[in-house]
Amino acid sequence: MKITARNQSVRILMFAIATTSAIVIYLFINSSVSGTPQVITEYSIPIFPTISDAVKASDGVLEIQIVSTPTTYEDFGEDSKPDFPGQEPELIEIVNARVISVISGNSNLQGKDILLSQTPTSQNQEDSDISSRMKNGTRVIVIGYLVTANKDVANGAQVWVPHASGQGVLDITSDVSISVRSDLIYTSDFINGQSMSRASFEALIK
Amino acid sequence: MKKTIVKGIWASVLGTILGLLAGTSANAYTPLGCTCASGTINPISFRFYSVGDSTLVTATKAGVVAWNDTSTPGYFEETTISLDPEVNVTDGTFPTDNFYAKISHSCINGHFNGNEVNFIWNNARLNTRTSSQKSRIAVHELGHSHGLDHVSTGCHIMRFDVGYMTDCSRTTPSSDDIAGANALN
Repeated sequence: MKITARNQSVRILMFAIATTSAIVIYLFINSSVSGTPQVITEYSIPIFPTISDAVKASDGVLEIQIVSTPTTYEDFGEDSKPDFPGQEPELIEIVNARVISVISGNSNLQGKDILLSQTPTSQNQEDSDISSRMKNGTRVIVIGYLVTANKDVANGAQVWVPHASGQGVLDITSDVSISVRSDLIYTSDFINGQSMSRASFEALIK
Repeated sequence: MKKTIVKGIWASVLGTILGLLAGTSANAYTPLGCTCASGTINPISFRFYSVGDSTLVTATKAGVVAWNDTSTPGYFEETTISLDPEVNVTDGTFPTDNFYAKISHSCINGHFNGNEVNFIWNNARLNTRTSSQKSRIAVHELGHSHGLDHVSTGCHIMRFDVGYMTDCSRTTPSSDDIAGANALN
């Protein structure tokens, strides 16, 4: 191939683009390493061997529809103050939900709106906690308990807390089927494909 | 020529398999990716900040004894002043969050930022836990300060479900937990 001045210019241009790209990528990687280190949190959480155990340790099993995006709160505990310099607050998200049906627990909740807590994804922690997240508009089954929040969280309102690590949030995959989001939980109940019929689920918790 | 190429391919495959086998540790521990600064772990001090529940002080101290009784290279020692490396122990009541206890830290170049980790008990979830279970959780959290991450199987103190294990009654570090702490520090 004949090397023309035009070909030569194109080669130089391509070389310049490649070099610039490499420098940009290098700077990006290094800037993320040298930036402010992210707080990493490791939790010890209640993990129940079976759905039956989880339901026994709950105040109810509710089919709900999420009707809001989350609001994030900072929680330092009951006194609202850090106990030592540099202590990070507990970040908590609260979402609104409408109770479609009460599978177990207080039947008066049917049709009512409730508050639910979840852990923000911005808090770097176990993958299992991310599996508890609830998206606006979706219908899920929640296994959880009712608590009074600290005053800094939703003004101290009554809040439902799903069991951690996806144990308290089950997806409704069809009219007749539900599934778990992690293969580490309820391993004796959810076998092969991590889903079961709704009828089987309701029979398990009665 | 063709035979040589085929032999070469087989040798590569075999080498890769052997390499993978050699690289797979028989131990069950998982590194957290962050440890105390090199050469600073004797002792690792721990300090209580306004821990309101005395059973949690007892449980934390039992966790310390459980680790100090092992062959791990670093030992824990209680202090009332800031001495790095340090585990800051406190408790709080977080009803809307679902954990028995947690540690938090940040990491710079593989070491805890400031050579410190924070250990926080959640009073809101501990009322159903026995003293033995609380001690087990303390051993687990202190295992993180030895640079150990969670494991999902086996009867180890670093099991992710340590607070509610039904198939294992372990309250002290297992040989794999100890091997991990030795390897990482």
